[in-house]
Amino acid sequence: MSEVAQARALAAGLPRLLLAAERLAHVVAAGVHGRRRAGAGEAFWQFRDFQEGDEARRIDWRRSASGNRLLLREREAQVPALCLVRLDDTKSMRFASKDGLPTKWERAALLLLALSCLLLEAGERVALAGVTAPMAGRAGLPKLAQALAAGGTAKAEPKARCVVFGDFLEPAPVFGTAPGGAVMQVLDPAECDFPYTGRVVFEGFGAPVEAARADGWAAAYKARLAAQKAAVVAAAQRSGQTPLFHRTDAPPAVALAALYQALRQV
Amino acid sequence: MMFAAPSVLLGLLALPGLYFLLRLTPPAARRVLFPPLALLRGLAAAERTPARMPLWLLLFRLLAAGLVIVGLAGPQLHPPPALPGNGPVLLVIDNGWASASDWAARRDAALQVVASAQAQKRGVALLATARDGTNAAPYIQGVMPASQAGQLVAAMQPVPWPVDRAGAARAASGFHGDVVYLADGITDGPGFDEFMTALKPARILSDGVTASLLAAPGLSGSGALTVQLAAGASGQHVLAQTGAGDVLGSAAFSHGVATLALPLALRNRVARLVLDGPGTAGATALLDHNARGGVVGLLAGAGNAETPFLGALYYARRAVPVGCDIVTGDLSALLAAKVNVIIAADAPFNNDQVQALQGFVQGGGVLVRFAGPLTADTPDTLEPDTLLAGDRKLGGALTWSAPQIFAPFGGGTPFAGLTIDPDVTVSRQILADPTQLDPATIWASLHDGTPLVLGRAQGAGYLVSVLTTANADWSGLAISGMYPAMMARLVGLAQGAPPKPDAKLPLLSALDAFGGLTKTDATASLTPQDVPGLMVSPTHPPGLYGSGAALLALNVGGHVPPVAAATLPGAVAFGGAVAPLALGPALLAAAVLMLVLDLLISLFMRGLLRVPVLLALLWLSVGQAHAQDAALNTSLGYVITGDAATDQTTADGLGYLSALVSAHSAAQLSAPVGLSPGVDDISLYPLLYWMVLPVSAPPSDQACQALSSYMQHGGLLVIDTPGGEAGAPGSGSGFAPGIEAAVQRATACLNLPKLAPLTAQNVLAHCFYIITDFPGRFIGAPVLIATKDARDADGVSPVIVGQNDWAAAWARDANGNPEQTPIPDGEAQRVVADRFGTNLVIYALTGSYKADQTSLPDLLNRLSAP
Repeated sequence: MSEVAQARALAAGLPRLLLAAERLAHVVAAGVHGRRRAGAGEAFWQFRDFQEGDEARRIDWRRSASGNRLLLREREAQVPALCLVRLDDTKSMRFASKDGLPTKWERAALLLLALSCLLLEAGERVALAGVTAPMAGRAGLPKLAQALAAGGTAKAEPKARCVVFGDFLEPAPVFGTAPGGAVMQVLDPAECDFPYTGRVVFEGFGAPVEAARADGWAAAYKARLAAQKAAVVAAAQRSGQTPLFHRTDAPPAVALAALYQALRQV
Repeated sequence: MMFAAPSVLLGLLALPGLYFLLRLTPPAARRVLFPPLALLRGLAAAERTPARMPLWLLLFRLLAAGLVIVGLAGPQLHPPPALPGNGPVLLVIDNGWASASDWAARRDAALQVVASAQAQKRGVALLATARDGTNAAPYIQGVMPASQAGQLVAAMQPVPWPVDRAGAARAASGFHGDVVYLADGITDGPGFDEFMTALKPARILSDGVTASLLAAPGLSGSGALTVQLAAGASGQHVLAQTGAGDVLGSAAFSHGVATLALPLALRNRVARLVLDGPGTAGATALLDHNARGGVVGLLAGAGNAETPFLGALYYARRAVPVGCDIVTGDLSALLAAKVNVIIAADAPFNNDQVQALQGFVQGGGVLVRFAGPLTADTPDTLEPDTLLAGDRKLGGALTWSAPQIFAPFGGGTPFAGLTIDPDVTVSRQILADPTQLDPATIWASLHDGTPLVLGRAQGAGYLVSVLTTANADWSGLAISGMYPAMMARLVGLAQGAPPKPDAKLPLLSALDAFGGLTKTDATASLTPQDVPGLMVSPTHPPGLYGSGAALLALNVGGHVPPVAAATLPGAVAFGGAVAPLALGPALLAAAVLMLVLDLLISLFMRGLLRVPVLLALLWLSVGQAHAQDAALNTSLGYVITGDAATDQTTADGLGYLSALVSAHSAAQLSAPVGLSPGVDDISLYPLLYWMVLPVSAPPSDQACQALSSYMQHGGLLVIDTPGGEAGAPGSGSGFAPGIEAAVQRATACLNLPKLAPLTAQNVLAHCFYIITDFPGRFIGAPVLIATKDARDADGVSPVIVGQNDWAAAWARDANGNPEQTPIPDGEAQRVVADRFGTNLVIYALTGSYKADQTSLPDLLNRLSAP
């Protein structure tokens, strides 16, 4: 399948993914938390008396007409933070061990969009790292989703918190330097549990590996996987990120809640 | 059990080797996609012993291999039994008429003997005991190799004449070897013991069945066909067949005689009587002119013609031979009835009638005229010879001569062979003109030489004049035994003259041993006078002799030696002998199936085949069949109540209704289908009949939904009950206590439209039949139909509710007899019920299409008005 066709197929699934993401986001409901001071926000904050130097057009004439003072309408100041999201787009992410399970990419994309939805609704700005400019407001979510499906040209990444989704199975993972982000490792249950028995040829990238008796390999494999997960955790902590882990057969809401908590703690 | 190639079984020894080989060979690897491949690299050293094949799969494969080996070894289930002795084998086969009924089994038994001989590597000689078509005495063929004998046996056919015991005994007496005798089980006359002595059979094969033989077909006194069972089991049936093989009637034997009473028109089409069963020459009786009667027309003459003891036709009627049908009427009626013979007693004819009668005679009819006072003075031209006017009296007061007796009949006349009765005298007659008399036309004359019966062939028929009266006025002929005998000869002329006793009749169609009649060019012939006592043989094969219409049948029955069951000591039954059954192909087929299954298992184990896909394919192919059936064939549906008797009645009723509608309208309905709404798809059925019982449980939610949707989308739901509550209207009152509550329960969830009583103005009352009542088994209870507002856009009601038990009135059993009696009017009510049912189906199929028919009479009136 060519890249374009793949993107089209993904785009066809986008509304579904978006809906699921929004639904998921509302499970982990969070309101907009204002900064409780006047600023360039949208929400009304307070009236105050006109002072010298204020622009005349900021006077709230209707309010002022009810008294004999000139009043200004002030809005609450909101300082949105920028959050970068990044999705590992390697081929190994497009894997699901069973019918009915989403691929790792689908689940990671769902979590990414749901998180973005939460952040956007909270007034934050979200950018797909290296692909899109920061976006704000609800209208940003479909654009994000489209960018996710279509990919895009690499752009300069601003220095900001970053949430990275991936399976991190390659040796020695390294994460960005800006602290306060999170690393979400998404794995398929088959990758965790190694449910294979008998004679199995494992295929993937590079030469296939043949196991004469796969059941005998489970223990050794799990040990290696544990080491890999530990390495991911260590690398994340080293760069000040919160390490998180998710299996595609687990409910996504749990993972999203953990992600959201990790971001809010900062 | 025997093996054709036992050495192949040694291959079974290789199975343990195969066992170890299969144990060693690891199963084919499953290929799976696994992204964390890097983590696996380097683990390969941990475990090197490959996984083994599961034990059950191993055994399965070993079994398949074993089946292949055993199948190739060629096992046989019923091997041919060994033969006695060890020299050449003489196979003596009875192939006379008595062996035809089970010839295939006989041939199989003979082939089995040959196969046994082949297995023992012995030569075979053959002796067929009947003479062949060239009338050569039985002779021994061989000794020859068994395979060659097998070909001869396979080509051997039975013959339709008896076996030649004496000839066979002579032939067999010179043979040295072991004799196997395949007997037909009958003795065929006195030579049987000598035959057995000469044969000294080492083994006798017999089915112990005496062949059936039909004999003496003919007409009974009442004109029915009769035939005797000369041999065979008495429980058989006789079939009357036409020449083309159509069966016109059948009868059982009673005291060895079967009687088939058939209407004359049918009876004269019967060409043969056969026993129901395998066709054989013995079980076939060909019919000839002896078993055919004609239609004799008696021309109604003067008013007293039928007067007992006085009328002319009174005697003629009794002289007509048995088996003939008699028609009485004027000339045009007789000609219209296509009679063969017209007997006219003292009847003068006008010119038109003479012409009509001449045509009748030219076309093969026989006109027999009797003289009398009315015709004596005015002879017309329709006579064999010129007659003189007036009559001649003998033995009266004024005559010299005494009444005359008959002179013996001449050999060339139709009356040849009849003896004259000296008591019969003729006292009055009319005279032929002696100057113009043609001697060839004189068929009978008086003792003094005066012609009394004149006859002449004209065209295909005969013109006969009897120069005296048909009653006892002028002569004693009418009250003598000669009269019917002569009449029989005259009537016989009409069906084609019976062959002359000394005529040489060539064989026209020969009967083969299996009862088939084929035209033949054989040179065999016989004369009728030889037939009694003649034995069928190659020179006189059974069949039809003669040419043209006058045929003579020579049957096997009556022309073979008397049949008696033969005593065959130590006979072995061959009837149960089963042909050798080779099991090899079946075993190999099973092995192939197992290997295919094994392939599927392997694919499945390697993850290349998915069970859901297989199941889905299976479901698609099987599960859709029912729905497809309903979609392709229109049929009525009914709701299964769970009460077996009710469901059966409903099914029978709707089945009858479907047949009725199919027969009377263009709709073609298949058998009705029992349905469970909510489970089955009911949307395919135009009419759904729902019998609600007092004990019926309310329908489930799914069923309710299905029924509601059915009514909304154009279905016609007919709700019926087996009667009503006590005190309810109609004759079904009291038959189903508790039904009101049950109907309410059943229909509570249905959201029925507003209902009103059905009237005769509704389309339903005249969409096919015009009816005013809507009865089923009961009548009188109101039938409810949706009100005008509640009907659908086309004005068709989605539901009809009644309590008349319609299906019970429609229901007929397997024989077409009604199952239940309508109350109170019985069959008359059932007729209306059937009509209502027809209307109901037409209504369901056509909706309000027929609604405009209400105003059709008015429209026609208006159109025809000026």
